[in-house]
Amino acid sequence: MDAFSQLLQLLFAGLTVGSIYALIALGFVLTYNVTGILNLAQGEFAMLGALIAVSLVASGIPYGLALVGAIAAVSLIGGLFERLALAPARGASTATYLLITIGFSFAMRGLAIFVWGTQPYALPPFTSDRSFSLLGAVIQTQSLWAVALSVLAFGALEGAFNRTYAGKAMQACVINPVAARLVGIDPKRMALYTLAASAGLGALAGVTVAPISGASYGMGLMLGLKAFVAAVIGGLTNAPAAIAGAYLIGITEALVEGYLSSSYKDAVSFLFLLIILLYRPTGLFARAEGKRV
Amino acid sequence: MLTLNEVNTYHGHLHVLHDITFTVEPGEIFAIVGANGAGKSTLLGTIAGLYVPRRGVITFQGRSLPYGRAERIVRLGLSLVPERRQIFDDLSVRDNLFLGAYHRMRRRDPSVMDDFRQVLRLFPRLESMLDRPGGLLSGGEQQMLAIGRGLMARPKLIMLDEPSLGLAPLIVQEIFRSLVEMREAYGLTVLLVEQNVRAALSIADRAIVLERGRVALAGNARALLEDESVRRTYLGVKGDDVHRRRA
Ligand SMILES: Nc1ncnc2c1ncn2[C@@H]1O[C@H](COP(=O)(O)OP(=O)(O)OP(=O)(O)O)[C@@H](O)[C@H]1O
Ligand SMILES: [Mg+2]
Repeated sequence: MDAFSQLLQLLFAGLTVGSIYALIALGFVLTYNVTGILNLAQGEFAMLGALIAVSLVASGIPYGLALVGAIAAVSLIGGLFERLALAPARGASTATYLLITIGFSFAMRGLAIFVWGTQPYALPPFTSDRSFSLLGAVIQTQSLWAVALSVLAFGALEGAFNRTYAGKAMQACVINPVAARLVGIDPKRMALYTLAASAGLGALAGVTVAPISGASYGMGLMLGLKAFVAAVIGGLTNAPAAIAGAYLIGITEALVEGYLSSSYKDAVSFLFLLIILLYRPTGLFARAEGKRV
Repeated sequence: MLTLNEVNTYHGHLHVLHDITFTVEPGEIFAIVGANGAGKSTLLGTIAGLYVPRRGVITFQGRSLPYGRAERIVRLGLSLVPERRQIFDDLSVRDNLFLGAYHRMRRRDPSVMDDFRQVLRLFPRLESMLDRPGGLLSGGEQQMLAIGRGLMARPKLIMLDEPSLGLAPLIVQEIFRSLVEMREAYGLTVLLVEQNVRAALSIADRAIVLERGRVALAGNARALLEDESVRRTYLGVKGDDVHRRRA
Protein backbone atom coordinates (compact mmCIF):
# COMPACT_ATOMS: atom_id res chain seq x y z
CA MET A 1 0.00 0.00 0.00
CA ASP A 2 1.52 3.32 -0.97
CA ALA A 3 1.64 6.34 1.34
CA PHE A 4 -1.36 7.99 -0.24
CA SER A 5 -3.57 4.92 -0.01
CA GLN A 6 -2.52 4.45 3.57
CA LEU A 7 -3.45 8.03 4.42
CA LEU A 8 -6.79 7.60 2.67
CA GLN A 9 -7.37 4.39 4.57
CA LEU A 10 -6.67 6.08 7.87
CA LEU A 11 -8.80 9.09 7.04
CA PHE A 12 -11.73 6.87 6.23
CA ALA A 13 -11.28 4.83 9.37
CA GLY A 14 -11.23 8.09 11.31
CA LEU A 15 -14.34 9.34 9.58
CA THR A 16 -16.14 6.11 10.44
CA VAL A 17 -15.39 6.16 14.12
CA GLY A 18 -15.91 9.93 14.10
CA SER A 19 -19.44 9.32 12.82
CA ILE A 20 -20.14 7.08 15.78
CA TYR A 21 -18.86 9.72 18.16
CA ALA A 22 -20.95 12.27 16.28
CA LEU A 23 -24.19 10.35 16.84
CA ILE A 24 -23.53 10.11 20.56
CA ALA A 25 -22.35 13.73 20.73
CA LEU A 26 -25.62 14.82 19.10
CA GLY A 27 -27.43 13.23 22.02
CA PHE A 28 -25.21 15.12 24.47
CA VAL A 29 -25.94 18.44 22.78
CA LEU A 30 -29.66 17.74 22.49
CA THR A 31 -30.01 16.85 26.15
CA TYR A 32 -27.84 19.73 27.28
CA ASN A 33 -29.71 22.28 25.19
CA VAL A 34 -33.17 21.31 26.30
CA THR A 35 -32.58 20.29 29.92
CA GLY A 36 -29.24 21.87 30.84
CA ILE A 37 -28.07 18.45 32.02
CA LEU A 38 -24.72 16.92 31.03
CA ASN A 39 -25.67 13.30 30.64
CA LEU A 40 -22.47 11.34 31.19
CA ALA A 41 -24.40 8.12 30.68
CA GLN A 42 -24.87 8.93 27.00
CA GLY A 43 -22.30 6.31 25.95
CA GLU A 44 -24.16 3.58 27.83
CA PHE A 45 -27.11 4.02 25.49
CA ALA A 46 -24.79 2.92 22.66
CA MET A 47 -23.75 -0.13 24.66
CA LEU A 48 -27.34 -1.04 25.51
CA GLY A 49 -28.43 -0.57 21.90
CA ALA A 50 -25.68 -2.85 20.61
CA LEU A 51 -26.22 -5.62 23.16
CA ILE A 52 -30.02 -5.57 22.94
CA ALA A 53 -29.69 -5.79 19.15
CA VAL A 54 -27.36 -8.77 19.54
CA SER A 55 -29.89 -10.54 21.76
CA LEU A 56 -32.84 -9.73 19.53
CA VAL A 57 -31.01 -11.02 16.46
CA ALA A 58 -30.03 -14.15 18.40
CA SER A 59 -33.67 -14.71 19.37
CA GLY A 60 -34.55 -15.02 15.70
CA ILE A 61 -36.31 -11.71 15.12
CA PRO A 62 -35.72 -10.42 11.55
CA TYR A 63 -32.53 -8.39 11.44
CA GLY A 64 -33.99 -4.98 10.52
CA LEU A 65 -36.74 -5.34 13.08
CA ALA A 66 -34.16 -6.26 15.72
CA LEU A 67 -32.22 -3.06 15.07
CA VAL A 68 -35.34 -0.89 15.23
CA GLY A 69 -36.53 -2.76 18.32
CA ALA A 70 -33.20 -2.23 20.07
CA ILE A 71 -33.29 1.51 19.34
CA ALA A 72 -36.90 1.75 20.54
CA ALA A 73 -36.10 -0.19 23.71
CA VAL A 74 -33.19 2.09 24.53
CA SER A 75 -35.37 5.18 23.89
CA LEU A 76 -37.77 3.76 26.42
CA ILE A 77 -34.92 3.25 28.88
CA GLY A 78 -33.86 6.87 28.30
CA GLY A 79 -37.41 8.04 28.98
CA LEU A 80 -37.63 5.96 32.15
CA PHE A 81 -34.26 7.31 33.27
CA GLU A 82 -35.65 10.85 32.88
CA ARG A 83 -38.88 10.09 34.73
CA LEU A 84 -37.41 8.03 37.56
CA ALA A 85 -34.04 9.65 38.15
CA LEU A 86 -33.79 13.12 36.60
CA ALA A 87 -37.31 14.52 36.99
CA PRO A 88 -37.53 13.85 40.74
CA ALA A 89 -34.27 15.84 41.19
CA ARG A 90 -35.76 18.93 39.55
CA GLY A 91 -33.98 22.10 40.61
CA ALA A 92 -30.90 20.24 41.82
CA SER A 93 -27.40 21.58 41.18
CA THR A 94 -25.37 20.74 38.09
CA ALA A 95 -23.09 18.59 40.23
CA THR A 96 -26.03 16.56 41.55
CA TYR A 97 -27.26 15.90 38.03
CA LEU A 98 -23.73 14.87 36.99
CA LEU A 99 -23.62 12.39 39.85
CA ILE A 100 -27.02 11.01 38.92
CA THR A 101 -25.93 10.40 35.33
CA ILE A 102 -22.63 8.86 36.45
CA GLY A 103 -24.54 6.63 38.84
CA PHE A 104 -26.87 5.60 36.06
CA SER A 105 -23.96 4.70 33.79
CA PHE A 106 -22.47 2.47 36.51
CA ALA A 107 -25.86 0.87 37.01
CA MET A 108 -26.26 0.19 33.29
CA ARG A 109 -22.80 -1.36 33.03
CA GLY A 110 -23.56 -3.52 36.03
CA LEU A 111 -26.85 -4.56 34.51
CA ALA A 112 -25.09 -5.38 31.24
CA ILE A 113 -22.56 -7.63 32.99
CA PHE A 114 -25.45 -9.35 34.73
CA VAL A 115 -27.39 -9.95 31.51
CA TRP A 116 -24.68 -10.40 28.90
CA GLY A 117 -21.54 -11.15 30.88
CA THR A 118 -18.15 -9.67 30.05
CA GLN A 119 -17.49 -11.39 26.73
CA PRO A 120 -17.71 -9.47 23.45
CA TYR A 121 -20.43 -10.22 20.90
CA ALA A 122 -20.56 -9.75 17.15
CA LEU A 123 -23.39 -8.23 15.15
CA PRO A 124 -23.69 -8.79 11.40
CA PRO A 125 -23.27 -5.66 9.25
CA PHE A 126 -26.41 -3.83 8.05
CA THR A 127 -26.29 -4.84 4.42
CA SER A 128 -23.24 -6.81 3.34
CA ASP A 129 -19.84 -7.62 4.72
CA ARG A 130 -18.28 -6.84 1.40
CA SER A 131 -15.65 -4.17 1.19
CA PHE A 132 -14.47 -2.34 -1.86
CA SER A 133 -11.36 -0.47 -2.72
CA LEU A 134 -11.08 3.20 -3.45
CA LEU A 135 -7.75 4.54 -4.74
CA GLY A 136 -5.97 1.68 -3.03
CA ALA A 137 -7.80 1.98 0.30
CA VAL A 138 -10.17 -0.75 1.49
CA ILE A 139 -13.54 0.49 2.66
CA GLN A 140 -16.21 -1.58 4.37
CA THR A 141 -19.85 -1.09 3.51
CA GLN A 142 -20.68 -0.69 7.19
CA SER A 143 -18.36 2.33 7.33
CA LEU A 144 -20.41 3.99 4.64
CA TRP A 145 -23.50 3.34 6.73
CA ALA A 146 -21.88 4.98 9.73
CA VAL A 147 -20.99 8.13 7.84
CA ALA A 148 -24.35 8.30 6.09
CA LEU A 149 -26.32 7.78 9.31
CA SER A 150 -24.45 10.48 11.19
CA VAL A 151 -25.22 12.96 8.44
CA LEU A 152 -28.83 11.77 8.15
CA ALA A 153 -29.43 11.90 11.89
CA PHE A 154 -28.14 15.43 12.01
CA GLY A 155 -30.32 16.45 9.06
CA ALA A 156 -33.39 14.81 10.54
CA LEU A 157 -32.81 16.46 13.90
CA GLU A 158 -32.24 19.85 12.33
CA GLY A 159 -35.35 19.44 10.20
CA ALA A 160 -37.47 18.35 13.13
CA PHE A 161 -36.33 21.32 15.16
CA ASN A 162 -36.71 23.98 12.52
CA ARG A 163 -39.61 22.81 10.41
CA THR A 164 -42.13 21.17 12.72
CA TYR A 165 -44.43 22.78 15.25
CA ALA A 166 -43.30 20.39 17.98
CA GLY A 167 -39.68 21.25 17.17
CA LYS A 168 -40.43 24.93 17.51
CA ALA A 169 -42.09 24.33 20.84
CA MET A 170 -38.90 22.54 21.89
CA GLN A 171 -36.84 25.52 20.71
CA ALA A 172 -39.14 27.87 22.59
CA CYS A 173 -38.41 25.85 25.70
CA VAL A 174 -34.68 26.31 25.13
CA ILE A 175 -34.87 30.02 24.27
CA ASN A 176 -37.12 31.04 27.14
CA PRO A 177 -38.43 28.34 29.46
CA VAL A 178 -40.61 30.72 31.48
CA ALA A 179 -42.33 32.16 28.43
CA ALA A 180 -42.72 28.60 27.12
CA ARG A 181 -44.56 27.58 30.27
CA LEU A 182 -46.78 30.64 29.98
CA VAL A 183 -48.02 29.50 26.57
CA GLY A 184 -48.66 26.00 27.90
CA ILE A 185 -45.52 24.10 26.93
CA ASP A 186 -44.55 21.71 29.68
CA PRO A 187 -40.74 21.66 30.02
CA LYS A 188 -40.94 18.36 31.90
CA ARG A 189 -42.61 16.68 28.96
CA MET A 190 -39.99 18.18 26.66
CA ALA A 191 -37.25 16.81 28.91
CA LEU A 192 -38.83 13.36 28.64
CA TYR A 193 -38.96 13.47 24.83
CA THR A 194 -35.42 14.79 24.73
CA LEU A 195 -33.96 12.01 26.85
CA ALA A 196 -35.82 9.42 24.80
CA ALA A 197 -34.50 10.91 21.56
CA SER A 198 -30.94 11.23 22.87
CA ALA A 199 -31.02 7.64 24.05
CA GLY A 200 -32.27 6.59 20.61
CA LEU A 201 -29.35 8.41 18.96
CA GLY A 202 -26.96 6.65 21.31
CA ALA A 203 -28.52 3.29 20.48
CA LEU A 204 -28.24 4.05 16.77
CA ALA A 205 -24.52 4.67 17.31
CA GLY A 206 -24.28 1.37 19.19
CA VAL A 207 -25.93 -0.80 16.55
CA THR A 208 -23.88 0.93 13.85
CA VAL A 209 -20.52 0.41 15.52
CA ALA A 210 -21.18 -3.14 16.75
CA PRO A 211 -20.67 -4.76 13.30
CA ILE A 212 -17.32 -2.93 13.05
CA SER A 213 -15.80 -3.36 16.50
CA GLY A 214 -18.13 -5.70 18.36
CA ALA A 215 -20.40 -5.22 21.35
CA SER A 216 -19.56 -5.60 25.02
CA TYR A 217 -20.65 -4.24 28.38
CA GLY A 218 -17.71 -1.84 28.58
CA MET A 219 -17.92 -0.24 25.14
CA GLY A 220 -20.02 2.70 26.31
CA LEU A 221 -17.40 4.22 28.55
CA MET A 222 -14.84 5.17 25.90
CA LEU A 223 -17.46 6.00 23.28
CA GLY A 224 -19.22 8.25 25.74
CA LEU A 225 -16.08 10.01 26.89
CA LYS A 226 -14.92 10.72 23.36
CA ALA A 227 -18.33 11.93 22.27
CA PHE A 228 -18.35 14.11 25.36
CA VAL A 229 -15.05 15.68 24.33
CA ALA A 230 -16.48 16.23 20.85
CA ALA A 231 -19.50 17.97 22.37
CA VAL A 232 -17.21 20.11 24.52
CA ILE A 233 -15.23 21.08 21.41
CA GLY A 234 -18.54 22.30 20.05
CA GLY A 235 -19.23 24.31 23.17
CA LEU A 236 -21.88 21.77 24.26
CA THR A 237 -24.73 23.67 22.63
CA ASN A 238 -23.81 23.71 18.98
CA ALA A 239 -24.71 20.54 17.08
CA PRO A 240 -22.75 21.14 13.83
CA ALA A 241 -19.65 22.09 15.83
CA ALA A 242 -20.01 18.98 17.99
CA ILE A 243 -20.15 16.85 14.83
CA ALA A 244 -17.07 18.58 13.48
CA GLY A 245 -15.42 17.90 16.83
CA ALA A 246 -16.37 14.22 16.58
CA TYR A 247 -14.83 13.89 13.11
CA LEU A 248 -11.75 15.75 14.28
CA ILE A 249 -11.24 13.34 17.18
CA GLY A 250 -11.96 10.28 15.06
CA ILE A 251 -9.53 11.28 12.32
CA THR A 252 -6.79 12.35 14.74
CA GLU A 253 -7.11 9.05 16.57
CA ALA A 254 -6.82 7.10 13.33
CA LEU A 255 -3.73 9.06 12.25
CA VAL A 256 -2.08 8.61 15.64
CA GLU A 257 -2.87 4.92 15.56
CA GLY A 258 -1.56 4.52 12.02
CA TYR A 259 1.59 6.62 12.20
CA LEU A 260 2.56 6.42 15.88
CA SER A 261 1.11 3.64 17.97
CA SER A 262 -2.32 2.38 18.84
CA SER A 263 -1.48 2.71 22.51
CA TYR A 264 -1.60 6.52 22.16
CA LYS A 265 -4.98 6.46 20.45
CA ASP A 266 -7.14 6.93 23.51
CA ALA A 267 -4.97 9.78 24.74
CA VAL A 268 -5.98 11.91 21.77
CA SER A 269 -9.35 12.98 23.08
CA PHE A 270 -7.99 13.67 26.53
CA LEU A 271 -5.31 15.84 25.00
CA PHE A 272 -8.02 17.74 23.17
CA LEU A 273 -9.97 18.13 26.37
CA LEU A 274 -6.89 19.43 28.18
CA ILE A 275 -6.20 21.96 25.44
CA ILE A 276 -9.78 23.17 25.46
CA LEU A 277 -9.93 23.48 29.21
CA LEU A 278 -6.66 25.43 29.21
CA TYR A 279 -7.30 27.83 26.38
CA ARG A 280 -11.01 27.97 25.69
CA PRO A 281 -13.14 27.20 28.69
CA THR A 282 -16.24 27.73 26.55
CA GLY A 283 -15.30 25.29 23.80
CA LEU A 284 -13.30 25.42 20.61
CA PHE A 285 -15.95 26.29 18.08
CA ALA A 286 -18.49 27.82 20.42
CA ARG A 287 -19.99 31.02 19.16
CA ALA A 288 -20.45 33.41 22.02
CA GLU A 289 -24.10 34.09 21.35
CA GLY A 290 -24.80 31.30 18.89
CA LYS A 291 -28.05 29.45 18.44
CA ARG A 292 -28.37 26.59 20.82
CA VAL A 293 -30.01 24.05 18.59
CA MET B 1 -64.25 36.22 37.71
CA LEU B 2 -60.87 36.21 39.43
CA THR B 3 -60.75 36.38 43.20
CA LEU B 4 -57.74 36.53 45.48
CA ASN B 5 -58.25 35.95 49.14
CA GLU B 6 -55.43 36.72 51.58
CA VAL B 7 -52.74 35.57 49.19
CA ASN B 8 -49.18 35.44 50.53
CA THR B 9 -46.17 34.72 48.32
CA TYR B 10 -42.53 34.36 49.30
CA HIS B 11 -39.33 34.38 47.28
CA GLY B 12 -37.26 32.08 49.46
CA HIS B 13 -37.33 33.74 52.85
CA LEU B 14 -38.46 37.06 51.45
CA HIS B 15 -42.13 37.64 52.23
CA VAL B 16 -43.21 39.59 49.13
CA LEU B 17 -47.02 39.53 49.07
CA HIS B 18 -48.98 40.11 52.28
CA ASP B 19 -52.65 39.08 52.46
CA ILE B 20 -53.60 40.29 49.00
CA THR B 21 -57.36 40.34 48.55
CA PHE B 22 -59.32 41.64 45.57
CA THR B 23 -61.80 40.57 42.92
CA VAL B 24 -61.74 41.26 39.20
CA GLU B 25 -65.19 41.40 37.57
CA PRO B 26 -65.85 40.03 34.07
CA GLY B 27 -65.28 42.55 31.29
CA GLU B 28 -63.46 45.17 33.32
CA ILE B 29 -60.01 46.65 33.01
CA PHE B 30 -58.46 46.29 36.43
CA ALA B 31 -55.19 48.08 37.13
CA ILE B 32 -52.50 47.30 39.69
CA VAL B 33 -50.09 50.14 40.27
CA GLY B 34 -47.16 50.56 42.62
CA ALA B 35 -43.51 51.46 42.89
CA ASN B 36 -40.53 49.32 41.85
CA GLY B 37 -40.30 46.25 44.00
CA ALA B 38 -43.82 46.59 45.37
CA GLY B 39 -44.55 43.02 44.25
CA LYS B 40 -46.64 43.62 41.14
CA SER B 41 -44.83 41.07 38.99
CA THR B 42 -44.80 38.58 41.83
CA LEU B 43 -48.57 39.02 42.09
CA LEU B 44 -49.18 38.35 38.40
CA GLY B 45 -46.67 35.50 38.50
CA THR B 46 -48.53 33.95 41.42
CA ILE B 47 -51.83 34.09 39.54
CA ALA B 48 -50.25 32.75 36.32
CA GLY B 49 -48.61 29.81 38.11
CA LEU B 50 -44.96 30.84 38.04
CA TYR B 51 -44.87 31.13 41.84
CA VAL B 52 -46.77 29.14 44.42
CA PRO B 53 -48.59 31.16 47.09
CA ARG B 54 -47.74 29.97 50.57
CA ARG B 55 -51.12 30.93 51.99
CA GLY B 56 -54.40 32.15 50.58
CA VAL B 57 -56.83 31.19 47.85
CA ILE B 58 -57.04 32.20 44.21
CA THR B 59 -60.19 31.25 42.32
CA PHE B 60 -60.93 31.76 38.66
CA GLN B 61 -64.53 31.37 37.51
CA GLY B 62 -65.36 29.82 40.82
CA ARG B 63 -62.66 27.15 40.81
CA SER B 64 -59.42 27.32 42.67
CA LEU B 65 -56.31 27.44 40.48
CA PRO B 66 -53.66 24.69 40.21
CA TYR B 67 -51.02 26.83 41.93
CA GLY B 68 -47.59 26.87 40.38
CA ARG B 69 -48.69 25.02 37.24
CA ALA B 70 -48.31 27.76 34.65
CA GLU B 71 -48.66 25.36 31.73
CA ARG B 72 -52.07 24.25 33.02
CA ILE B 73 -53.36 27.64 34.11
CA VAL B 74 -53.06 29.08 30.61
CA ARG B 75 -55.44 26.35 29.46
CA LEU B 76 -58.10 27.62 31.85
CA GLY B 77 -58.23 30.96 30.04
CA LEU B 78 -55.71 33.03 32.00
CA SER B 79 -52.92 34.44 29.90
CA LEU B 80 -49.92 36.42 31.18
CA VAL B 81 -48.01 38.80 28.92
CA PRO B 82 -44.87 38.90 31.03
CA GLU B 83 -42.63 41.76 32.06
CA ARG B 84 -40.05 42.71 29.39
CA ARG B 85 -42.11 40.80 26.79
CA GLN B 86 -40.07 37.55 26.87
CA ILE B 87 -40.66 36.70 23.25
CA PHE B 88 -38.83 33.82 21.57
CA ASP B 89 -36.05 35.88 19.93
CA ASP B 90 -34.74 33.36 17.42
CA LEU B 91 -38.16 32.29 16.23
CA SER B 92 -40.15 34.18 13.62
CA VAL B 93 -43.04 36.46 14.48
CA ARG B 94 -45.39 33.88 12.95
CA ASP B 95 -43.93 31.07 15.08
CA ASN B 96 -44.15 33.23 18.19
CA LEU B 97 -47.83 33.85 17.53
CA PHE B 98 -48.70 30.23 16.80
CA LEU B 99 -46.77 29.04 19.85
CA GLY B 100 -49.12 31.29 21.83
CA ALA B 101 -51.86 28.87 20.83
CA TYR B 102 -49.84 25.83 21.91
CA HIS B 103 -52.52 24.07 23.92
CA ARG B 104 -55.05 24.59 21.15
CA MET B 105 -52.72 23.54 18.33
CA ARG B 106 -52.27 20.21 20.03
CA ARG B 107 -56.04 19.72 19.82
CA ARG B 108 -55.97 21.01 16.22
CA ASP B 109 -58.50 23.69 17.10
CA PRO B 110 -59.58 25.22 13.76
CA SER B 111 -60.31 28.62 15.34
CA VAL B 112 -56.57 29.24 15.72
CA MET B 113 -56.42 30.65 12.19
CA ASP B 114 -59.28 33.07 12.96
CA ASP B 115 -57.49 34.30 16.04
CA PHE B 116 -54.27 34.71 14.04
CA ARG B 117 -56.08 36.96 11.57
CA GLN B 118 -57.72 38.88 14.37
CA VAL B 119 -54.38 39.54 16.08
CA LEU B 120 -53.03 40.89 12.79
CA ARG B 121 -56.09 43.14 12.54
CA LEU B 122 -55.39 44.43 16.04
CA PHE B 123 -51.67 44.97 15.30
CA PRO B 124 -51.44 45.50 11.54
CA ARG B 125 -47.74 46.26 11.59
CA LEU B 126 -46.93 42.70 12.59
CA GLU B 127 -48.31 41.49 9.27
CA SER B 128 -45.36 42.76 7.23
CA MET B 129 -42.81 41.14 9.57
CA LEU B 130 -44.24 37.66 10.02
CA ASP B 131 -41.05 35.95 8.84
CA ARG B 132 -38.64 38.11 10.78
CA PRO B 133 -37.07 36.72 13.98
CA GLY B 134 -38.93 38.19 16.93
CA GLY B 135 -35.68 39.39 18.47
CA LEU B 136 -35.12 41.83 15.61
CA LEU B 137 -38.34 43.76 16.22
CA SER B 138 -38.37 47.16 17.89
CA GLY B 139 -39.45 47.39 21.52
CA GLY B 140 -42.95 48.51 20.59
CA GLU B 141 -43.35 45.80 17.98
CA GLN B 142 -42.10 43.20 20.45
CA GLN B 143 -44.71 44.35 22.94
CA MET B 144 -47.42 44.00 20.31
CA LEU B 145 -46.08 40.56 19.50
CA ALA B 146 -46.10 39.59 23.17
CA ILE B 147 -49.70 40.73 23.54
CA GLY B 148 -50.62 38.99 20.30
CA ARG B 149 -49.02 35.79 21.56
CA GLY B 150 -51.01 36.13 24.76
CA LEU B 151 -54.23 36.56 22.78
CA MET B 152 -53.52 33.47 20.68
CA ALA B 153 -54.18 31.38 23.79
CA ARG B 154 -57.75 32.72 23.52
CA PRO B 155 -57.84 33.82 27.17
CA LYS B 156 -60.88 34.97 29.08
CA LEU B 157 -58.65 37.13 31.22
CA ILE B 158 -55.39 38.60 30.00
CA MET B 159 -52.77 39.91 32.39
CA LEU B 160 -50.22 42.45 31.19
CA ASP B 161 -47.08 43.27 33.15
CA GLU B 162 -45.89 46.79 32.35
CA PRO B 163 -46.65 46.88 28.63
CA SER B 164 -45.48 50.51 28.46
CA LEU B 165 -41.99 49.72 29.76
CA GLY B 166 -39.35 51.57 27.75
CA LEU B 167 -41.70 52.67 24.99
CA ALA B 168 -42.27 56.10 23.46
CA PRO B 169 -45.51 57.83 24.49
CA LEU B 170 -47.06 57.44 21.04
CA ILE B 171 -46.55 53.66 21.05
CA VAL B 172 -47.85 53.45 24.59
CA GLN B 173 -51.01 55.21 23.43
CA GLU B 174 -51.35 52.78 20.55
CA ILE B 175 -50.93 49.79 22.83
CA PHE B 176 -53.34 51.12 25.45
CA ARG B 177 -55.87 51.78 22.72
CA SER B 178 -55.49 48.16 21.65
CA LEU B 179 -56.25 47.03 25.21
CA VAL B 180 -59.54 48.90 25.16
CA GLU B 181 -60.23 47.49 21.69
CA MET B 182 -59.46 43.96 22.90
CA ARG B 183 -62.02 44.30 25.62
CA GLU B 184 -64.65 45.49 23.14
CA ALA B 185 -63.79 42.98 20.41
CA TYR B 186 -63.21 39.83 22.46
CA GLY B 187 -65.19 40.62 25.60
CA LEU B 188 -61.91 40.17 27.44
CA THR B 189 -61.20 40.98 31.02
CA VAL B 190 -57.90 42.82 31.46
CA LEU B 191 -55.61 42.85 34.48
CA LEU B 192 -53.04 45.54 33.91
CA VAL B 193 -49.86 46.17 35.91
CA GLU B 194 -48.31 49.55 35.24
CA GLN B 195 -45.80 52.06 36.51
CA ASN B 196 -47.26 54.57 34.10
CA VAL B 197 -49.94 55.27 36.69
CA ARG B 198 -51.69 58.09 34.88
CA ALA B 199 -52.10 56.11 31.67
CA ALA B 200 -53.22 52.98 33.50
CA LEU B 201 -55.78 54.73 35.71
CA SER B 202 -57.24 56.62 32.79
CA ILE B 203 -58.22 53.46 30.90
CA ALA B 204 -58.98 51.24 33.92
CA ASP B 205 -62.36 50.79 35.57
CA ARG B 206 -61.01 49.90 38.98
CA ALA B 207 -57.56 49.68 40.49
CA ILE B 208 -55.50 48.82 43.52
CA VAL B 209 -52.32 50.46 44.71
CA LEU B 210 -49.68 48.03 45.93
CA GLU B 211 -47.17 49.21 48.52
CA ARG B 212 -44.46 46.91 49.79
CA GLY B 213 -46.57 43.88 49.03
CA ARG B 214 -49.81 45.14 50.57
CA VAL B 215 -52.95 46.58 49.07
CA ALA B 216 -52.65 50.20 50.20
CA LEU B 217 -55.61 51.63 48.29
CA ALA B 218 -58.41 50.16 46.24
CA GLY B 219 -61.30 51.60 44.33
CA ASN B 220 -62.67 53.24 41.27
CA ALA B 221 -59.83 54.22 38.88
CA ARG B 222 -61.24 57.73 38.34
CA ALA B 223 -61.38 58.30 42.06
CA LEU B 224 -57.81 57.04 42.55
CA LEU B 225 -56.65 59.40 39.83
CA GLU B 226 -58.05 62.24 41.96
CA ASP B 227 -56.77 60.83 45.24
CA GLU B 228 -54.33 63.17 46.86
CA SER B 229 -51.83 60.58 48.08
CA VAL B 230 -51.84 58.85 44.71
CA ARG B 231 -51.27 62.16 42.99
CA ARG B 232 -48.42 63.01 45.31
CA THR B 233 -46.68 59.65 45.24
CA TYR B 234 -47.29 58.36 41.73
CA LEU B 235 -48.23 61.29 39.55
CA GLY B 236 -45.54 63.68 40.72
CA VAL B 237 -48.04 66.31 41.70
CA LYS B 238 -47.04 68.34 44.76
CA GLY B 239 -49.48 68.86 47.62
CA ASP B 240 -50.07 72.56 46.98
CA ASP B 241 -50.58 71.88 43.26
CA VAL B 242 -53.49 69.72 44.24
CA HIS B 243 -54.92 72.49 46.38
CA ARG B 244 -54.50 75.04 43.67
CA ARG B 245 -56.35 72.90 41.17
CA ARG B 246 -59.10 72.22 43.62
CA ALA B 247 -59.47 75.88 44.44
N1 LIG C 1 -37.47 35.33 41.46
C1 LIG C 1 -37.22 36.08 42.56
N2 LIG C 1 -36.39 35.62 43.52
C2 LIG C 1 -36.12 36.36 44.63
N3 LIG C 1 -36.63 37.56 44.88
C3 LIG C 1 -37.45 38.09 43.95
C4 LIG C 1 -37.78 37.38 42.74
N4 LIG C 1 -38.62 38.15 42.02
C5 LIG C 1 -38.80 39.27 42.74
N5 LIG C 1 -38.11 39.25 43.89
C6 LIG C 1 -38.12 40.29 44.93
O1 LIG C 1 -39.47 40.48 45.32
C7 LIG C 1 -39.77 41.84 45.46
C8 LIG C 1 -40.92 42.21 44.54
O2 LIG C 1 -40.48 42.09 43.21
P1 LIG C 1 -41.45 42.26 41.97
O3 LIG C 1 -40.67 41.97 40.75
O4 LIG C 1 -42.67 41.48 42.20
O5 LIG C 1 -41.78 43.81 42.05
P2 LIG C 1 -42.47 44.75 40.97
O6 LIG C 1 -43.51 45.51 41.69
O7 LIG C 1 -42.88 43.98 39.79
O8 LIG C 1 -41.28 45.73 40.59
P3 LIG C 1 -40.98 46.44 39.18
O9 LIG C 1 -41.92 47.59 39.11
O10 LIG C 1 -39.56 46.90 39.32
O11 LIG C 1 -41.16 45.45 38.10
C9 LIG C 1 -38.48 42.58 45.18
O12 LIG C 1 -37.88 42.87 46.41
C10 LIG C 1 -37.66 41.63 44.40
O13 LIG C 1 -36.29 41.83 44.65
MG1 LIG D 1 -42.36 43.98 37.86
